[in-house]
Amino acid sequence: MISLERITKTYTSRKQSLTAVRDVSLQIERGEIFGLIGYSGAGKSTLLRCINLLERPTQGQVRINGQDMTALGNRELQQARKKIGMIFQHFHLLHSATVAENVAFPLRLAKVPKRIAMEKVHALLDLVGLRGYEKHYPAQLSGGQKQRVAIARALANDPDVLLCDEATSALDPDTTQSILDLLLDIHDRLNLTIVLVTHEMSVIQRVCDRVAVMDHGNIVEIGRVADVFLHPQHDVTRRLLQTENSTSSSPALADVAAPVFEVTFVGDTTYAPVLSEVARATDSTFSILEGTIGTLKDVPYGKLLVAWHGNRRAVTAAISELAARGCGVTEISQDRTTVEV
Amino acid sequence: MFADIVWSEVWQASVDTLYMVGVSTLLSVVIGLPIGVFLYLFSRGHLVRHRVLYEFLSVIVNIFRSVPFIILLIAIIPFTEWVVGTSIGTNAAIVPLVVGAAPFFARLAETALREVDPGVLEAAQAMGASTWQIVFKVLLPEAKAGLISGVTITAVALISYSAMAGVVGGGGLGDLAIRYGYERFQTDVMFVTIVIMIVMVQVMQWIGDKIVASVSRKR
Repeated sequence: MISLERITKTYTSRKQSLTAVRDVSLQIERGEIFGLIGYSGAGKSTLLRCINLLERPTQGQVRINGQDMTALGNRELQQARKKIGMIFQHFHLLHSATVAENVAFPLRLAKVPKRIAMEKVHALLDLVGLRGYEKHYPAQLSGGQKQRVAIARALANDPDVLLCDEATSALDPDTTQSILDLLLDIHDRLNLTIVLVTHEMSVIQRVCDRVAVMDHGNIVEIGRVADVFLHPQHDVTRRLLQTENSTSSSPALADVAAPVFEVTFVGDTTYAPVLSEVARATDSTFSILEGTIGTLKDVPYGKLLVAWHGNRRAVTAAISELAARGCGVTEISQDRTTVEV
Repeated sequence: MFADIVWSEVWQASVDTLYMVGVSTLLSVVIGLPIGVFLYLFSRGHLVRHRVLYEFLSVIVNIFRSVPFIILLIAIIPFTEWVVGTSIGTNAAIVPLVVGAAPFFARLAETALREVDPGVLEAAQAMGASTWQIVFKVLLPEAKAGLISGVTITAVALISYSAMAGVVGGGGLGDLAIRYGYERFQTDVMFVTIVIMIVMVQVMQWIGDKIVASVSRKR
């Protein structure tokens, strides 16, 4: 669907040059919700803006549905952009136009007859839950409502792709949740491919199928959200995950007189009494030191730090039984380095 | 005191002033707005950014802005003759008024356009708008309030410029004030013309503010 091939973006001014994206290749499948996450300055927004050529890559190719965007002339590029919706952190609505005029704007650009455009506008405002707001001006709306208008506007030309540039970063947590729900809803209804940029792991966790972690212009980690979430490989990913749960400090493992394991599970196993069954079967006991149970999109997952008590053989048996039941198990040494089991 | 005033002349002078100011404001906007748009486009964003063209246009605008109006009025007499066929009269005064005010309005327009949130232009670009669609459907509508303020400022400045039109026999209130008030020591005529000009400026500013308010109330 979207294929980025060896994208490099360098900004050159008279005195210096700055490389925002370095030789990044990426495939995004049709119908996928793909997340780009990283700290500010990581290059994630630049990479996103390379998709619709708001930023023209210094090197590399952007293909959408097989079409090489970088090879298009001005007119053809404008045509291609009509099939790529985009929403922004600060909404970027026309302040001098009403809600209806804002949503109708892309249709006006495409010279859609007015009557058909107005029908479309009403349908879109229904879709985003803003029926009755046609005559309001953006200044009269809340942040969440403005983003809904922006989403309706982005969908006006029936795009295949929706690009979201920090779309929830200016919103409070409740509004963020409702906008993310809306994105999931339109994704299911319209079979959209969504690419979203964020610095919040919770956003990725709630809506994305796959995620790429960016740092200094490179993709340092990419994979299914559950994998990246439960088994982060890169330092930046771990830091991004940590800030999500920064309130609790980790227990000192030196005080624990038993081997400690990180046990992860995804899907139905999450709600099954796996730990206690395994403990009973192997005649051992366990204590939970730290943990989270939650959902990734619709998939339940858990990540626990468990001290397993019992004789060595019982513990070994318990661990292999856990692994056999589909849990991910990693032994954690006292200085918190991980040891593969 | 006011006995010796020829009111028909005062009336004619007021009409002449309004005519000169009206026509030259209109022409200044028609000529200055595109210049302002190009100044903006060449200097900002990545639509049609062009440093050299910007500097070129900017220098030309500055040249006209740096010549005092009374000098400009006389200096461009040959040009005025070429345009309207004469260098005397109300229509002849309009030429230097426009030459002086169009670059002035161009700068005001450029400033008003810079107030537009560049993100909105970018959003339009992402929607597949062409550069001209962005100018006419985003940039100008979004800058409407600022542009109307600019028109008001230009019109008020033109009232004052037009007072010098007497130099080329252009008539108007300024001419009247100099001929009667200064050269014939008729202080009452001076007084009356000043009052009329004050009223004109007040009314224009009031109308301009009203329009700006009705445009920006929606935002």
